[in-house]
Amino acid sequence: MKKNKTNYLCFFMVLTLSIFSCSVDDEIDMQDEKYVLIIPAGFPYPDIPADNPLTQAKINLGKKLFYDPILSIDSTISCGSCHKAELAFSDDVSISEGVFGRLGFRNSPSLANVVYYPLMLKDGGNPNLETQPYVPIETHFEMDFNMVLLVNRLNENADYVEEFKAVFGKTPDPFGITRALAAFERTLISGNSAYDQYTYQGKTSALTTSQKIGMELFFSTELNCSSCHGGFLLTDNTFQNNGYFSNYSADSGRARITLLQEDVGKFRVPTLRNIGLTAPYMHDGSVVTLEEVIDQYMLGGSGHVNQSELIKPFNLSLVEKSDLINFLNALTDEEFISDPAFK
Amino acid sequence: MRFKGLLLTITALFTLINFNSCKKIEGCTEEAALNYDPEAEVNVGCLYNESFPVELHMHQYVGLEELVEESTYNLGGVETKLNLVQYYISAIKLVDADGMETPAEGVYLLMSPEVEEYSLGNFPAGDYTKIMFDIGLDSVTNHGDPSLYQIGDPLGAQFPNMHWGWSFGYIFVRIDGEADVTGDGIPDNPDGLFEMHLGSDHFVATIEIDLPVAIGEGLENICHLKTQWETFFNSVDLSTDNTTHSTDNVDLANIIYGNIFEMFSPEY
Repeated sequence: MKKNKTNYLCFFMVLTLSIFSCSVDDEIDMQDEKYVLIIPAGFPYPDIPADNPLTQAKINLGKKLFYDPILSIDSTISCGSCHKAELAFSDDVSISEGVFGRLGFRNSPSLANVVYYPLMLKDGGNPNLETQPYVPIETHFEMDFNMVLLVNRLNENADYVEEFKAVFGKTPDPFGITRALAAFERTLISGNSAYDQYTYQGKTSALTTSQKIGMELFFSTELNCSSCHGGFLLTDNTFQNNGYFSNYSADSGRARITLLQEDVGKFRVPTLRNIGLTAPYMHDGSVVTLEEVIDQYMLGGSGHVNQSELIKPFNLSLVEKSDLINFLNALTDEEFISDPAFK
Repeated sequence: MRFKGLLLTITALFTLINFNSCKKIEGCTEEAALNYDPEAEVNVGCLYNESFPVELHMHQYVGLEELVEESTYNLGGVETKLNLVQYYISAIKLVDADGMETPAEGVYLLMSPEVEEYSLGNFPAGDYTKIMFDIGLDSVTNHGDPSLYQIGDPLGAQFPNMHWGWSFGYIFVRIDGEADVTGDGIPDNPDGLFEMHLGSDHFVATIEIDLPVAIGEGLENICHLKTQWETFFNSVDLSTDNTTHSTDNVDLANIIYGNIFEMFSPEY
């Protein structure tokens, strides 16, 4: 499979590391040959937790779990129900339906490149991919299930029992479920958009003239987009109030976790990678088009007390706005959304 | 002569230093021992009080009645059915008259009205005057990964759930119930369904109770405590404001948090 091609440099790095740490990781090394992620040009190799090394068998098991509605109370909703591969693992509705048609209050985020995220969820309330699965599995308006009951259910399934034994040497348990899901999600790396080809791969023809003008606008200090949506992830992963709304009583964002007034209305700066696929926009999915988003930003925000200082009014001609949107659409990674390894 | 005397003194000093640097002080180096010698460098044996297994017996009451889940009680004038009542106790210590604290190492208890007796592990024989414990968990344990514990361990995954993924940490106190919100004297379902879920580092409650307990051979070796759930609901109007997951209704969380400090007492 394409994603399993050996990246020799990384392989030797891992090999070198494992020679030095052979006595520490004996148990882990026994399980399966280490899987080496294919890293796009311009991206660093991500940190992988010591208690969850990547193996092909574990990734396969995680993928199976990801797409299996067995994770929800009535076996109707899988992770993939709201994180669709063809939409860069996001959804095309404001709020995705959970079990029994229940609605939460936040828009389903893209899972592209979650391997690089320092915290999970829009408010950063969860620390890592290994513990994040508890959120959808146990949230009332998502899967409304329970980890203990899920373990029981998986243990009644002969295929899963066999697969967990092969990967973890034991029957399904919370450790295996969470580690397998995290392993699969770590492989969801997207870094081959036209923008990447132009910027990191030296393909000067990858962007159109309009997209190049849009890119200049995007990285200009006048628009300030890249001050937050910068770096190889096109997010700095900070929590910001973008002044898009004036009232955050329905969802206080980061303040829901910290209880700090200064965090009201702050949400993780989302990656703009694949932004052309991840509509609708904003934390509640209330904005349908990129044009609306830009129009609102041009006004300089609502003036909410916590609004980022970087949000200031600016002017764009209709042509410039179209150039900017063309550039944003150049952030779509077609290879990522059609990769059979993810479907 | 004076020079000779000085030489003798210096020689004696050197001999002393030399002697001291060779011979290490022998004694008991274990702080917890009865004969602990803080000067000792080489452990030549320690004496301990014999240890005995100690239990905590917790009786849970609503007024004069024992708490039974799925039963209905009058709480502040509101007929209320308590469907689930669970909470964590940790950082348990027995304290003697000198203020010396002996911790129950590694003991985390998930308390339920269905279970009255809990093991606290072994404690050295002695007369203790006080028990201290936390309702909740220390910050490191609170933000640990429940998947690292087996199912069945108090800190492992639970059904019903005692952990939040979204605001990562354990639910210290979980009360689920049905309150009479229509005023007809009958708890309402679904309209009166409520959840009081208290968690986050901010809401750890350290409880200190005067409780004389003698631990030793032929003694009962049990700490008898009781919980009064009427106190937990003090100043709460269950018919109007009855649900909190801590951060979504901080005012109510603060009220029940304050009540927790008052709800435990010795049972004689």
